[in-house]
Formats: sequence, structure tokens, C-alpha cells
Amino acid sequence: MAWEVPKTQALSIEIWGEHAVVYNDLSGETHYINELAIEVLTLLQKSPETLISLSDKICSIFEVGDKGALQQQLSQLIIEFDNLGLITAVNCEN
Amino acid sequence: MHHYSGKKSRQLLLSAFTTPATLAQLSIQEWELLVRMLRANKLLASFAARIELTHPDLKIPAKVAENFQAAQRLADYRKKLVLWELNRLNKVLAELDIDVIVLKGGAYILQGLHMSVGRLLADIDILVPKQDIARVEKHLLAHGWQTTQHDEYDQQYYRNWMHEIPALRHHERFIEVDIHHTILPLTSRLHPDPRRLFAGAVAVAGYDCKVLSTYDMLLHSAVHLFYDAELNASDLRDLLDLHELFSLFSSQDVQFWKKLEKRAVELELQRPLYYAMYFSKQLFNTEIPTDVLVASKGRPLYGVRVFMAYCVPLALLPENPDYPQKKVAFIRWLLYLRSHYLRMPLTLLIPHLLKKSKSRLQANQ
Amino acid sequence: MKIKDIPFRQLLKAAHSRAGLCIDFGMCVVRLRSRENDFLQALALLYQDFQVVEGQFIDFHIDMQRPVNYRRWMQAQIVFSINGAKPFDPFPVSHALPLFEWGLNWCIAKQGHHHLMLHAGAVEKNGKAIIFPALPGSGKSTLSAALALRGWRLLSDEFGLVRAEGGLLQAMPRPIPLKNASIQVIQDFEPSVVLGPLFPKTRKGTVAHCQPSTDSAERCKQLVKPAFVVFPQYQADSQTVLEEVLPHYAFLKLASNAFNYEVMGRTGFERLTDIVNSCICFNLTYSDLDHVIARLDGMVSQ
Repeated sequence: MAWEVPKTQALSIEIWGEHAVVYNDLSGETHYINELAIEVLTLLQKSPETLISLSDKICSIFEVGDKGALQQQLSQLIIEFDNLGLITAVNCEN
Repeated sequence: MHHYSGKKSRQLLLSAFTTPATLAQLSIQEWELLVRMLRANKLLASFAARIELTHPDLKIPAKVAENFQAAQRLADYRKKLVLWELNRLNKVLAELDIDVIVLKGGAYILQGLHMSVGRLLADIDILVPKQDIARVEKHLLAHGWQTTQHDEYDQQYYRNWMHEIPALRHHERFIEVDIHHTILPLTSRLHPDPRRLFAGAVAVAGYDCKVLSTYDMLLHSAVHLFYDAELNASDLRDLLDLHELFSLFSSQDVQFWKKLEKRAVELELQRPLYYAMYFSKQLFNTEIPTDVLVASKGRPLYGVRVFMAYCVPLALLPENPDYPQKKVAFIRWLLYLRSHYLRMPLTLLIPHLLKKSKSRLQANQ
Repeated sequence: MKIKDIPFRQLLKAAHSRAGLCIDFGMCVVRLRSRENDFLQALALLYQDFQVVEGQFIDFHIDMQRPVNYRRWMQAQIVFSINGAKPFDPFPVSHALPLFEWGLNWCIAKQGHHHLMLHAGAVEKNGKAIIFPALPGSGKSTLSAALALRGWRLLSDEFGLVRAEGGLLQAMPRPIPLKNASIQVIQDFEPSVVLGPLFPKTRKGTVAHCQPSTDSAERCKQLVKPAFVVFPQYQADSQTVLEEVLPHYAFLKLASNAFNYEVMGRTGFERLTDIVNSCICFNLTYSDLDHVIARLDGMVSQ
């Protein structure tokens, strides 16, 4: 399964270094997000990603050693983003 | 402003809707009274949205525009919350594979009807088949929704006599969800068959939930206003919705009035349809052919017609807040009794009202 | 015409009449009708430099009247009504002024969505405004009052009103309600301060209102750009310490403390990011008012 920020979804992101706030026009809510979450959201805004492709890209950005732990963290983050309506699942694999 | 008691203030409000071009001639004091009345009726935002749409060049005094803008922001926010709640509901209910129909304001939003703009929505109403209602409730409770009625009597009252279960609300959000299995209380004098409503329901792009067909949407709105509401000033917006629905749908189909009457007969909702057509035409000049009204099977006896024709406009239209009339308060009280009488037989009604007033007394102490 | 230029008898006559007494508060015009002369006297003192207007659009129609025909034999009471509706329980008649102030704030918070309404005080000097977000125990009212008594223009004590369009601050320099020990602190700080009557036993203890300066009242229509956000924290015997904070910290604190951040939607997000990006944001710890005012004076004179 892949995930993306839908193209119709209007997110406003304001980034200050390693901190950011994001306004989700769908829910009307504003969320504070950290460095990892900023990267994930920015990637999912560009194109749909699977958990695997996402963790590969994140690994190269942050130079993480423990890929297993990262994947677990990412799948947690994806569930959270989905609950907040920031991203949706897409069925096509790529 | 001494001249603006009673009849004249009602006229001011009605002409603002029926002949908006005359707004250009209003004095600042007349604008002020209009804004006050619209606000008291929760119509300020939707009126502002209408004017923006139909008369974008109208010169509106800066202070009035500010009040419009403020009201529209609040309405936009409520609409966003409702859409978001519908989005979440749709996601969770899609797992059940049952028919869900979104009713009233929520449906107008889903269909992008322009009267959904500026409407101050407070909750979402959905209709599900009676045999599925327990499953729906259980499923929502398992996904973060919680009941809003904790009083045992109220719980029982809802379940036994109303057409819904007590409202649910997700613990992280604000919008209440009312789940119905029919569009009127079980005790009501009218019994439209919900199976017919499901059979006619139509799909909405991007959602698994459906909405009522054009005709059923109109009839539901009519029956809600004239058989379930108390008919006071805050119900005027429902009549306005009816006017908009009539105007929109009748312009799309020359057979509209014939088909509508036919559907009303099928669902046994001729009477509320008659009232909806009559008062929409009377107050908002809706283009409804007179022969449609005269031939309507729901046309009540002469005496009832006279009574309703006198009372309903007085009850629905806002008053000048500086000059409330005793007559209007009395008429609203009469119509309040009527609404309860229509909702349940007297043997049930009197114990219910007594119980209600008793708990109100206890709460006050 | 200013309230202080109208004979009191004439003010009473207006407030007793159907047409009411219409006062321009900068952000809004209020029509007030009341027969409570003690209340009107206190109001006339605190709002002496505000304009009485005629023939203007009125935002809020407020009546302060005794409830009819019930509980007459008990303690005299007063009811706040807005546009004919009565949203609150009655108050003792002696507390009409705090009820009016509180009720008007409620009305503004409910209807003022053409502004992002921060829960904050605000003052201005040299065209530079400081926003003081209200956090419990921050002492922002005391600080705003002290600054106002040293020549700063009071914008507002309760509402940081950021206009939805343009993001400038809108003034509403109503009297500052000082609570409990702050009353004495301000009287010691500036003995010439004009305070309204003392109201003991309100929900927030004893309250007295500090009269806004003539300059603040006269310039109540003048908009100003926010330059600083200062989160004050009163701490007994502490030095004056100003520490710059990160934008996301300021953003989250302002948003969570606003009256209508959520209602404003994307506009609220945009106005707030504008503010934290264009302002310098500080945490302030203080105890000595003269010290802190000297520091803030320095900030706006650069």
C-alpha cells in the first residue's frame, strides 16, 4: 500500500529550521511537527510512497543506521498522519 | 427607528430576500435592524453569501460588510467541521457495507448546493436501515464516538419513541451525529416508509454515503419543518432552504411539480408539501403555479388554512428585538403545542412534558 | 462629543431613553440602555474620553436592567441583555460595571471574527506595538496599566485584535481591570492613577478598573503594526530578564491561547505566522515595573 498527500488537499506548512507547523484545510486543525515528520510530509506531497520506498529515502536524508527501528517509527507516523487526514492511502504500487 | 415595529420590520426582512436590489436604498439604521434580525435568526451568514453570489456589485456599508464577514467566517468554520466529520464517518462506515444516507444540511454540503454556504450547521443527521442501526452504533462507539445522552430517562425516551438513537460525538471533535432509521418519530401522525427513501437514494461523488433523491430531499425538508419543528424564528432558514430547493429543481425539469406531487402521495407527505409550497410562495415569492397549490391533495380545510396562514408567518419571521410583541409569543406557543401534538399521542405527550418540566425544575434548584 | 463634555444629567437621560447612549469603543459601537445611575456614573468616569455618537451603525445593543417582577424582595439584581437575548444569570446590582465589561467581552469574542482575536494585552509607542499574551499569573494587566501610565498608548487589555485583512492591530482601549494586590501596586507606582470603584467578591476577587489615557482613547481608530511579542511572567524579587524565543514556540503559545484561532481557518494560520515572522518574540521575567519599562522603552526607541 502507498500513501500520499492528495493533490486536492491544501496543506500550509511553515518551517522554522527543525520545527514546523502545518495547517490542514480539510480538518481545520493545525499541527506541530518535528524534523522527521516534515521530511515525510514533504516527500508524500511530491509523490505517493510505500513504507519501504519512504524509509529508503528517509534513510539517505538522515543517515540512519537502524532501518528496522526507523520503519517502525515511520509506520506509526503514517497511521497518525492518516488519522489526522493529512495523507490518504492509494492503491497503486509504485 | 420608532416606525419599525411589527409589520414593517418583517417587511424589511422579506424584501431583503425577495428584492435585494432595494437594499441599495437602505439607511444605515435600516441595515442595522436587518443585521440584528438576521443574526437573531441565524441567517446572517447565509444572507451575506446570497448577496455576494447574486448581487456582487451591491454597495454595502463598511460596518455591515464587517459583520457579514465575521458571520461568514464562523459559518465557513462550522461547514469545515461538518465536512471533516462526514469524511471521518464515511471512512469508518464504509467498513460496514450498509446503506447510509446523509440528510438535510450535511446533504446540501455534499451536493455542493449553494444554500449550504453560510448555513450554521450544528450537527449531522444520517439515515440507516432499522435492522442495521445497532451495528452502526456499536461500530462508531468502537471507533472513538461516544454517547451524548447520559440521563437514563432521555436514553429510553429516544430509543422507544423517537426516530433516532441518542446523538453520538467523536471524543476529539465537536460535531454531533444523529442516527435515524426513519425521518419522523415513530409516534408521529405521518409514516413515510424509509424503504422507499433508500430505494430512491442517489450516490455522491467521492463518498460511499448517499443522499436522498431530489424529491425526497424536498419532502423531507418539508416534513421536518411542518411536522417536527416548533415553527419559531430559528426555523425560517428551513423555509428558505425549501424556497431554494423548489426554485433550483423546478428550473431543471418541466414535469417537476407533477412528479413532486406524485412522490408526496407515494410517501403520504401531501400535507407538509402543501404547507411548504404555500408558505414558500407567500413569504419568498417562489414561482409555484397556483393550480399546483389548488390541486394539491394535501390542501387542508378552509379553517386550518386560515389559521396556519395567519400564524406561521408571524411565528417564523423575526421580530424587531426592541419591540417584541405578546401576540407573536402567544402564536409561537400555540405552534409549539401543535408540534408536540403532531409528534406524539396525548397519552404519551403529557407524561413526557411533565417529566421534562420536572427535571428542568430540579436542574434549576 | 466626548463623554466628559456632556453634562451627567444629559447622559442619564440618553441612557434612560429608547434610543440609548451610543458609545464608540474603537473596534465597535455599543448602544447602552440602563437606569442604574451608579453604574452609569462609574462608566462615565472610566470612559470619559470616548465619543458619544449618533446615527452610526451599532454593533452591540446592550441593556443593563433589573429583572422584572421576580426576586424583588431579595438582593437587587441586574441582567445583561444583548440584542434582546439574556445569555447570563443576573448579577447583584452593585456589580453592574464588571458585568457590563465582561458581557461586552463575551459579545466581542462571539462575533468579532473579522479579527484574529488573541487573548492578549497590547500597547504601542513610536509606532511599534507589543503584544502581551495573557497566561495565568503573567501579570499582563498590571504591566499594561503601568506602561499606559508612562505614556504608552493602550491598545487593549484583553483582546489582541489582529485584522483578518492586513494583519494590523485594532485598538479597543477599554479600562484595565486590576485584581487584588495589583490595585495597590499600581496606586503605589503612580499615585495620580484614576481608578473606578472597588468591586469586592467578583469571580476574580476584588477588581478596580484603571481609566485609559486621553491619548489612548482619542487614537482608538488608529491601526498599528505589531513589532514584538512578549510573554510576561511576574516573579517576586526577580531581575528583569528578556530572552528571545523560537518562532514555533511563540506560534503555538499564541494559537492555543487565542479566542478564535480555529474559527479563522487558514487566515488565522497566515496572520499568526506573519506575526511570529515579523516580530521579535521574548519571554520576560520581571518584578520591578520601572526596570521593565526602561527595557521596553529601549526596545521601541531603536
